[in-house]
Amino acid sequence: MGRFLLRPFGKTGIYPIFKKMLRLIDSSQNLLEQEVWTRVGSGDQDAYGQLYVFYYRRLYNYGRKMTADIALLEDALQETLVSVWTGRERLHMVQKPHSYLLQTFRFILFRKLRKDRKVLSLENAEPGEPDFGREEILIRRDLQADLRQRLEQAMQTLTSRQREAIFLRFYEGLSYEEAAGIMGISVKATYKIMSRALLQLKKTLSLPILTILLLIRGLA
Amino acid sequence: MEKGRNSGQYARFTLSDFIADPFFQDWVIHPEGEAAMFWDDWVPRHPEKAEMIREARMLLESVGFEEQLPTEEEVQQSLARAREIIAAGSGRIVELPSDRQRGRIRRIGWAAAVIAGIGIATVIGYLSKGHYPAERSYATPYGELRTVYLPDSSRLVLNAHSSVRYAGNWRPGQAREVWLDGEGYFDVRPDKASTFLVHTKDLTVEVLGTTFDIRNRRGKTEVVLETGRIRVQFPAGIHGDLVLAPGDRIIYDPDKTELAHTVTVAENYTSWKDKKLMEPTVGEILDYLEDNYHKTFILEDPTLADKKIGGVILLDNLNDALFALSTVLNVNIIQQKDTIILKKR
Repeated sequence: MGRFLLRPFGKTGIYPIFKKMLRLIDSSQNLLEQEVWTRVGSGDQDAYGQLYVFYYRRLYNYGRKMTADIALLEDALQETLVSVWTGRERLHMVQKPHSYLLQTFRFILFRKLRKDRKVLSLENAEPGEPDFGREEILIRRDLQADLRQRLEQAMQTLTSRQREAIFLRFYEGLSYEEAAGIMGISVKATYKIMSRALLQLKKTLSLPILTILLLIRGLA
Repeated sequence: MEKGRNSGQYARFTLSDFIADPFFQDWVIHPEGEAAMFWDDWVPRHPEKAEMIREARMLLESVGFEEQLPTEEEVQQSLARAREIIAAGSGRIVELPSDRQRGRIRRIGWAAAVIAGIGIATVIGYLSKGHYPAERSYATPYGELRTVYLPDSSRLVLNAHSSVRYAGNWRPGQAREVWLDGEGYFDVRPDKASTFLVHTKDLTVEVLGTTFDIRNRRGKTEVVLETGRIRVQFPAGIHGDLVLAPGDRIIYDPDKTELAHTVTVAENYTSWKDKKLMEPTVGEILDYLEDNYHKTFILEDPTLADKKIGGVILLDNLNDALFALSTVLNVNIIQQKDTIILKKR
C-alpha cells in the first residue's frame, strides 16, 4: 500500500499535482486535439498516428488503475483506437473527443475484464466492475507530515467509484456531466459520490495556516 | 446544473460548501478557464473569506494520482500493429512517406492501385501539401507558465516570459531541434536514433534522454541536469564540449567567456515548474519575480538578499509570494507601478 507516496516530486513520469496536467489539456492540447480529430475524420493517416500515440498514453494511465494485466490492457487500447479509424466517418458527430474516448475505452476494458474474469476486486464496486487503484494516489509532499498522513488514510477509505470520480474530475479535468457519462451513472449520483468523497477528505483537515507556518519554521 | 451562484450566496458559504461546489472546483481545475473570471474578481472583494478559500483550494489541490505510462517502444509497437490490422481490413490505406516506412508504403501502394481510381487524387493531395505548419512556436507572457508537448511527445514546461520554436513535424532519424529563449524545463523521450538539441543564443545542449533545466536570462545561460546525461556545446573555440551528470549545474557568461561549474540539488532549480522555489535566498526569489513578472525590486536592507529561506516559497501568483516575503522578512511591501520596495517595518 502506498508504495509511491514518498517519491519526491519533479521526477520523470509523476505529476504530483493534477493541475499541471490539466493546464496541458486546457490550453495547448484542446485545440490541437480538435484539429487532429478533424483530420483523422477526413482520413488523414499521419494525424491518426499522432492521435494514437497521444491517447494510448492517456488511456493506458487510466486503464492501469483498474487492471495490472498489461496484455489485456493492450487489447482494449488497440480495439478502442482502431475503432476510431474504422469509424472515422462518424467522428465529426463527436463533440468531446477526450471524454468520448475515455467512455469507449472504459466500456471495452470492462467487457474484456468481465469476460476474462480478471476483475481485481468487487469490494466497494458495482457488480462486475474492477476496483479503481488505491495505490496510485499521491498526496502533495509539501504538506505537513501529519496532515499528509491523515489525507492519505482518508483517500484509502474512499470507495472505488469515489476514487474514479475524483480521478476523472480532478486529474482528467472533466465536468460532472462528462464524468457521469463515462462511469455510466446519473449526474446527480456523480455529485453525491464526489461531495461525499471530498467532505470525507475535508474532515481530515484541521485548518492550520499551512504555508505561512511552513515558511516561518523554515527560516529559523 | 447551476453554473455559479450569485456573490451573496457565496458570501455565506462554509468551507464544506466551497469544497463541494462545482463552480468553485472548476476554478481550481482550470485556473485559466471561465470560472476564473468570476473568482479572480470575487475573492479580492471578500477578504473575510480569503483564509477559507485558501484552505478549500489547498485541499482540492493536495491529492494527485501516479502516472503509469507505457514506454515509447510499447506505444510504437502497438501503433504498428494497429496499422497492420487496419491495412488488412481495408485496401484504401495510404501512408505518408517516411524513411522507415518506405517498404510498407510500396506494398500498400499496390493495394491502392488495385482499387483503381479510388482516392488517387486524395493521395496526391496528401503527398504534396503536407499536414503540418513548417514551424511551431509558443511564447509565454509575464506571470504564466505553459506546458508544451513536442512532436515526439517530449514535455517542455516553459517558464514565464520565455519562448520556444521548433519544426512542426519531426522525421524519424533526424535530429530533434528546439530553439529556446528564456527558461524551460525539459522531460525528453529517449530515442537513440535521433539526437535532441536545445539551442539558446549562446550554447547548445545535446540530450541523451533526460530531464534538465535551461535558463537563458540576464545575459547568461544556466543549465541544471536533473536526470540522465546531456552534452553542452559552446561556440567554436570558446570551450570544449562538456558532458553533465545529474546534479551538475553550469553557468555560462558569454561576455566574460567564463564558465562556472558546481554540483547542486537539481530539484531546487527545477521546482519553478511546480510553481515553487525550494530553499531559495531572498535574492534568488527577487530575481525570479523580476524575470517572470516584469517587476523591479528594491531592498531597503541589501543584506537581506543573502538570507536563505529554509522552506518552500509558493509562486502561484505574485501577491501570494509578496505576502509570504513580507511575513517572513517582516517588511512592508510598497508597490509603485512596476517597482516594488521592501521596507523595514
